[in-house]
Amino acid sequence: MPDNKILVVEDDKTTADFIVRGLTEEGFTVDHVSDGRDGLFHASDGSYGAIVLDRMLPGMDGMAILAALRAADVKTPVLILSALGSAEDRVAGLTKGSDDYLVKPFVFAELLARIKLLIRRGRQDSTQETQLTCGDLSIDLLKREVRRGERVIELQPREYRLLEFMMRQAGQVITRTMLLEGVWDYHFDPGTNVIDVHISRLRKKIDCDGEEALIHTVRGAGYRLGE
Amino acid sequence: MIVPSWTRSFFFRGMLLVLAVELLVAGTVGLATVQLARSEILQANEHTSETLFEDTLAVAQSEGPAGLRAFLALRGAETDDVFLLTDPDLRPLAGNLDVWPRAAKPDGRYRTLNIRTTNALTNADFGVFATRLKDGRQLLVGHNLTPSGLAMDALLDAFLVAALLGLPLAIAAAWLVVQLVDSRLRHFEEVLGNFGLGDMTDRIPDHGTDDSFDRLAKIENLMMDRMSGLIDELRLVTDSLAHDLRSPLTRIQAQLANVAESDSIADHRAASESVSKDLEHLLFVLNQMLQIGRAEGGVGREAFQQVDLHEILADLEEIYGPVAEDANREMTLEATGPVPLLGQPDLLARALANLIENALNHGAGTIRLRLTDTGASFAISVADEGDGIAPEDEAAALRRFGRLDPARRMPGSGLGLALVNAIAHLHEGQLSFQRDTNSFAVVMELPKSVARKSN
Repeated sequence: MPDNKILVVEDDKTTADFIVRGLTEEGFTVDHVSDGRDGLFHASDGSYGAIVLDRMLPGMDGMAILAALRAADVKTPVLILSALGSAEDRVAGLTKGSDDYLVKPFVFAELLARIKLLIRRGRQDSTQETQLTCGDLSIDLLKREVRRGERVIELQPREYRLLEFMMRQAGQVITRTMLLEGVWDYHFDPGTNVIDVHISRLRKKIDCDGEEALIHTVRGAGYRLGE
Repeated sequence: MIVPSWTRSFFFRGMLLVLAVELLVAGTVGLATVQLARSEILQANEHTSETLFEDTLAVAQSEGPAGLRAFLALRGAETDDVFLLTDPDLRPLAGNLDVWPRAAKPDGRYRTLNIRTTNALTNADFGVFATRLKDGRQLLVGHNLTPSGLAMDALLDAFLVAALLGLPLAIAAAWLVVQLVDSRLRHFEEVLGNFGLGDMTDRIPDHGTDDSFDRLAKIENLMMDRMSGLIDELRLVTDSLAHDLRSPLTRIQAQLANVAESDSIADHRAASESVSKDLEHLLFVLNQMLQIGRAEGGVGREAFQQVDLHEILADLEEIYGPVAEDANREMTLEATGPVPLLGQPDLLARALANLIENALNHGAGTIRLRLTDTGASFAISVADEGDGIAPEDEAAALRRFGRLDPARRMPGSGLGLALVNAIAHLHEGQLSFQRDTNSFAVVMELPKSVARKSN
């Protein structure tokens, strides 16, 4: 299954162009359809790495497409992109078979980060990992031990979970809301600088003086762990 | 068959019902009375005839044939009763009857006969006894039934007249009952009608009887209070929203106009960044408004799930602890055991996060998170050592856009506490403020078990 093929089902032309252009620039091959029925037709052959699905579409409702796909055992990761943004809309979307739910309006970096996360997760699910590495940073998942080179790093539980989550998406941009969701399982926009504070504490322990920085701030988007 | 719609109206059916019940009761009572009186009269008739017959027989025994004949002549002339004494061949000897009636058998049994006495003009009913005396003569004695028949007729007439007179009374009573119901409902009609037309000040009067009308009135009044409250608030919100959205929109408009003619990429980039910031704020305000609106409207209760308040508080302490520490503040959590509740975890976390952020941004000193069991509900208190909100500002603080800083210097939308309040309401709970020496707490009380609506 080519992971770099993405289907975008979206009827608003401006939004669709915006997504298609952005994803193409990122090296994805993007198919775009604006009608619900066409969307289901394209999606049902299971040849995509991920599907970006609008909820309110002409022809066929996004949730109906999703239900039809899952009923046909198509397991392609689906990210719902919707203007329906309440907590219960989101829960309904996630419990009815979508893998992620992003509310319009959205920042492109957030969409991109989430699509990449979906594709990676789809690949990883089959293998049970015992160790995560990134450069000379490694986590022993069984012993819950973190090392940077020879140095053993003591982390508090929350810092450990944060690092584990970032290590699993090493090299990818992770947004602040993705971190809150991934580490604490809450979905709300934390005000002030909550996530930044956590990251800066983690950074102090991971990136010591003289070491190459592994935790990078990506302006306007979030963070990235990697060399 | 087409039944006209007025026949289905309460007025018509109510009247019909009351009328039917009244007629049924009156008919039953009347019929029973007439029946009883009739049987009494018939019995009395037989008894009188029997006495008369026995008296006559006694005279026949004691006075002999001559005495009997004199007695019969006397009685026959003086009374309306009938007497006849014949020889064995049924030839009349004395009395006021010309012929022995064929139907009268001399067997000493009671019979009712229609016969005409000598001095009468027409036939009449008589309760008759007839017998054969020892010497072969035959005696017939009968009591005139005409008076009792008249009495019975009069009774029946009286009943019919009463029934006829009662009918309009019954109709009037039915009408009164329906009017009584109608008059109580007229208040509802008037007040609800006005409410529908936009006059929301009137309420349905309470008669203080706690009958079904009063109970309905209470419910309707409560409903109208809530609706008019919501409408008042909506009006306020629309005004404030317009104000709070207009300033960033104006800024965006100005910035775009400023760079429209500019060829400098740097100018465009600066404008784009600034516009993005304003847009972000607009979206934030809009999302908050929507969340408050939905929570106040009770939308989302159907998606409630079992949550652990303790876990949510512990998570929030974990999330905000380092933030407090960085600001040289302390944060503590007092809570024990799992605290199960039906609710929406993201919204509850959002609400408590708002309270913590308020304490961080506007409060001072140690922030204390406390979860206590008050019996019927759980109380979550977020306290700090700052001055808090002044008592006179409490209402304003809970209002949407009720920012307590009129110059709006501090960042924020002025929606934070309103959202917390709305989320508390969604969980059928409420928000209150507690002041102590050197401490100010916002307390969210959530009832343990409420009948959650499942729409």
